[in-house]
Amino acid sequence: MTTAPLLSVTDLSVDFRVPGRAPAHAVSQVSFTLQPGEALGLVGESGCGKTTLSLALLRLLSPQGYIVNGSVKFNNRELLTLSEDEMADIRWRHIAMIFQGAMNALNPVTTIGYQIGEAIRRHYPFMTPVEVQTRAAELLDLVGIAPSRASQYPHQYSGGMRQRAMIAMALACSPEIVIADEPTTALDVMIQAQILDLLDNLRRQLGLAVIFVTHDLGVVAELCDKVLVMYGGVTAEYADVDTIFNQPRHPYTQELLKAFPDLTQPQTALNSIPGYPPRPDDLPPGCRFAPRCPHVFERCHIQQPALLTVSPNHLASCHLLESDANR
Amino acid sequence: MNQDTPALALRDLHKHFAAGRPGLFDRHPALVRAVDGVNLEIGRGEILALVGESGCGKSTLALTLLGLETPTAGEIHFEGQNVTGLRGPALKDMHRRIQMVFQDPYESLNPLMTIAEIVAEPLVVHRLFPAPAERHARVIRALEDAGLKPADSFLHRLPHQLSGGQRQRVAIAAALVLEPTVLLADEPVSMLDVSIRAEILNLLADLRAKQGISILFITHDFGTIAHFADRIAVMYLGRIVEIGATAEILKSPRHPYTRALLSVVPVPNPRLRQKRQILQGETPNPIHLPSGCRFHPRCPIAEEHCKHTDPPEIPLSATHTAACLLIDPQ
Amino acid sequence: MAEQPILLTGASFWRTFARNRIAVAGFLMLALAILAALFAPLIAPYDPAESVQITIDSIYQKPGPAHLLGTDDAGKDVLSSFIFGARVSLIVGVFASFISIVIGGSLGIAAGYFGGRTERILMRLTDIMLVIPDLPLTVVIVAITRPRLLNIILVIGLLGWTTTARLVRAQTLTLKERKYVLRARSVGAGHLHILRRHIFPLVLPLLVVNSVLIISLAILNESALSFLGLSDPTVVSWGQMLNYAFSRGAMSARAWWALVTPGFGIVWLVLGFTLLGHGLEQVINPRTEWHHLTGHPRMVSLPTTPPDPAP
Repeated sequence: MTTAPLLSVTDLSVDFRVPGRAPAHAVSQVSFTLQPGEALGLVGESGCGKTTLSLALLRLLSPQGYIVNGSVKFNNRELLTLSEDEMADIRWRHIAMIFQGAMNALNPVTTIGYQIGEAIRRHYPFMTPVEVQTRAAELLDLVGIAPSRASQYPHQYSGGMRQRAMIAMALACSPEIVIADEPTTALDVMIQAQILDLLDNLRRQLGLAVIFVTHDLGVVAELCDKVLVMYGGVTAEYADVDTIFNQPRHPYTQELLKAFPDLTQPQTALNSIPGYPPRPDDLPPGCRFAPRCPHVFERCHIQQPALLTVSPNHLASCHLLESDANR
Repeated sequence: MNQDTPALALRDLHKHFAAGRPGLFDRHPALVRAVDGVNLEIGRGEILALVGESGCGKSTLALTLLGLETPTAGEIHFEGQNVTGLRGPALKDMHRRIQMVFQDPYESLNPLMTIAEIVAEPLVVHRLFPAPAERHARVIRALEDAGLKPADSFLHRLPHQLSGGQRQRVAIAAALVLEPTVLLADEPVSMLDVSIRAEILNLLADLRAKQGISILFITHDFGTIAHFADRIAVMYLGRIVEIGATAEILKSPRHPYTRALLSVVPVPNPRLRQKRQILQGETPNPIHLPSGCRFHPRCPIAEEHCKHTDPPEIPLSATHTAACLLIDPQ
Repeated sequence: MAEQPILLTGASFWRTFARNRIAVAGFLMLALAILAALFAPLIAPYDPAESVQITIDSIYQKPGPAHLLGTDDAGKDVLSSFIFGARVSLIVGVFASFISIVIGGSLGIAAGYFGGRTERILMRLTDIMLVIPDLPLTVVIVAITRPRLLNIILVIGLLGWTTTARLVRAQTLTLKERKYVLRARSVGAGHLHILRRHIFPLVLPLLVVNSVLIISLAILNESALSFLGLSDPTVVSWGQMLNYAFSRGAMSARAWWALVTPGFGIVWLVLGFTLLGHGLEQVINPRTEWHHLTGHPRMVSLPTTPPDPAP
């Protein structure tokens, strides 16, 4: 890769600390880079730390969440040491987020147009009301909502429309990076397809870099260039999308793929992974996937595997891959 | 009873709601045609998937089958017997034979009740097996049938102490305890982690295989049911637009709506990024149904006469029918 | 670490309670008052019911060794009246609040659960009760029915249920939409079963908190009535003490102890119940303290899928 990465995250770790309880290691030592215009899939199941990680990038963790280690560089500028004011300037203007659950993230008592305007005014205080209005209308048009509907309230919008409005809001200040946290969960398949299509088009049209935070491997396969598979707060596997889907090396990635229905192969039965994902405050001592892994052996229960380079630009954390990595 | 009679048969079933209360000037408010002429049969021990987007009426259909909504018109036959409009004890008795598993296992269990209480509740409601020992045995058996072993260890826990998959198993156990012959499952895995969905699906398939339970599996996701259902029915705006054996629907869908739905199912293979046929807009409001074919405003291949003629169900094979004017039966 | 339950039960309730300073403060204040009321005959240096020979000197005596908080207009020991007065306040507060809670709770549950015409009628009734100014009506009714302790309790209780009814109705409205209610219905459960198993147990915490808060209102109402002269003359109460002191020259005699003491008692109890009530509210409904790791994410934000077209 020749260009400098737009975003580069190194060894990021996040703990949750509640007084009187053991700290919960929600994210441990996660690294990745994001090039301009690139789409990264952050994949994992509930509790794997993907949402925490994305919130940590924006420094939007709840008060119990602490970034205990690592660095987040945006255009070579360290974000973790910025003052709160400087960080507020980065948020939305450079890195915006589409939150999970569009239904709850919109204010029910003000119009959609006003809420989009709010995001604009916050970062461009000198814009005149007419300019703000024009910009809001532009944004609505961009996401496929008739600008005349700017004066309507969230309850007058359908689920898909609200998600579009959320996207418009995220684009308000022309950010370079958009983090989309489960952008299509709880939407119908057809609406899901519409939203994903919209995000994909916007990415191409505006040259956005997008981080898709999702549990849906279908979304990742359709839209992403690179994939970071997380399990129990650590990186299980990190590679380009074709490698992840066609040559996965980590047992978790392999099992997860088998658990995902594929209409092009209707003969293969669905697989399930026995057991449940670990809780971040009760992690197994060795490899975090060991209790559920089909290839587990003694060492997995004792020692945490390192993140190994199994081939150029392909990282995986599994003891079984050590011989490949050393080669 | 004849083994060939379907477990459940719906004949031209309608369920209309008044949209709002009758007002002072408007004595006849508009009708929401949630279910609008559904014909459907579920064979004994069959798994039938009912696929449709929200607003297509599939949930209303389920509530009507459960007797929680009274059909506006049409008939429901349960094991060959007309049970439409049953009331009182007869309805309650019917409830024993048709049970439902809901979508969200985080919401469908009372947080204050122990697992034992939750699973025993249907027995309490129906005053079955009042002897504590017998009731206990039934609860244990239902939990084990639902794959919660050892069942003893779950009895005194509360829902919040279980994982999502375990909770859904509890909900299934609470449905099984009445030994139903028909199970309605409304998106039972969509709230669960991908890695454990197959477990729940396999459990349901096992129940069918071992106990001969018929399952109506309601979903909006073709992916989940592709390996699982015997037949698939696709519902749009209150009506079944296509029905057929799973292989027929997946390999040769004939209705344009089915085709579009299938084309947007994400494929977990980046080499097969496909041209998706995305329908614009959303399912229209069932208050103002389009004239003619109800799908024509969103249909990519609609022709002029689709606006005027309501398509009949066209038989395509012994098991496959589709309601579209543009299908050539040959 | 146990997951944060939706509602606290048993031991975990007490642990959380013990950590909540507001609740504990209120609890301690009330424990003191209740002990004083229970053991009043043992603690109080004099018996307020005993008649005292009134001399010029015995009226409004300053606090001193014989009378720690001085004497009142009738030469009676203020401290003793103060201790006995706690009994009336507590009895009126508890019983009146019980009446309010029973009425408000049942009307609220009925209105919320059954909806439709039942709800419209009950809520109209509640609205009417809500707009009638409480105190003047109480004064009128007590004046007509004769100020006896039982009448006072009944009137305060029968007029104080409106806020409870509204709160409970709102809670019931959300509870009856829960999926487990639908699940129970789908099994064939009747209204009585659903109300008993799925609605009432989840309304109960709200009722407990609310009853504690309503006690403080009832105590204030009782004091106001007594201060206006509508007290049961056969028992000592703080409002009555204030009334006598106020109307019989405590101000001009500069006998601050005759005014401050009963006033302090009222504030103490009202504050105690209010603190306990708000504390309990935080303990029972600790949503503000959750984050997405202590509870399951589903408990924090529920994705609200639009319902199928049913109205």
